[in-house]
Amino acid sequence: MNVDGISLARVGEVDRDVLRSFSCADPDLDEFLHDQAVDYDEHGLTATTIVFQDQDPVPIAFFSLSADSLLLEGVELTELGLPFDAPILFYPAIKITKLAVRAGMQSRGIGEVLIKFIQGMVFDSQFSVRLLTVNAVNRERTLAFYERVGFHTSHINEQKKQDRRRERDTILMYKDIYAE
Amino acid sequence: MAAKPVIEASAPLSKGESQALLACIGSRQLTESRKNTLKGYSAAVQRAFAKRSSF
Repeated sequence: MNVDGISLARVGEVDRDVLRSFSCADPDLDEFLHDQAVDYDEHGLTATTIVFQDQDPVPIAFFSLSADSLLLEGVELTELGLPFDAPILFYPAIKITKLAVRAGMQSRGIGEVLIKFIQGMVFDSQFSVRLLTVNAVNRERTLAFYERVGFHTSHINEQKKQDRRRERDTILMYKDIYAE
Repeated sequence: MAAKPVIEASAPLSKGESQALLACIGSRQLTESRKNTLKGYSAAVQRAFAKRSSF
């Protein structure tokens, strides 16, 4: 897709009627954008960016980001593998809390562009972030998308998958933004 | 019944997973090529935000 035609705006700068014109055909994601995203943004819980293309007044996508960390349990400092002593207990991360593309515009590469934009936003920040994380909805198509753009599935989910009594709603995935 | 969370926490990684992650990224340096790619993404983001604010 043509990235030059893309424009971005924070959710608080977009008219509510414009937000309500968006639908990705997922009721939970639509409801979040229509009724909750502004409040979550204003209160510092998750920051939502609205994506437009060319002169189309209806958003083509949105994504929301929050600070996150991946805790490292039971690891000896000598196992860190870094070229210096770094007694850290977590890797700093940014979580993709929401990501949706408009119904009828999916499977056109827009999601991949959003992941690139998110990496650009993270890399350009004045704080360190090494990983992107996402609790991906446990649907084959969603998981395949995140794998295609370089996310790895946490093994935690494999352990929990063995518990047949409950199907996981979401799967924790992560991506190292330093990886080519 | 508890409401479905709007934002979910990342569960701590197991020891094995932590070791695998560390082995994967601990020794990985940011290459010049990757740095330039990420800078390109950043520039595209800045242009895209500027474009909307000029509407």
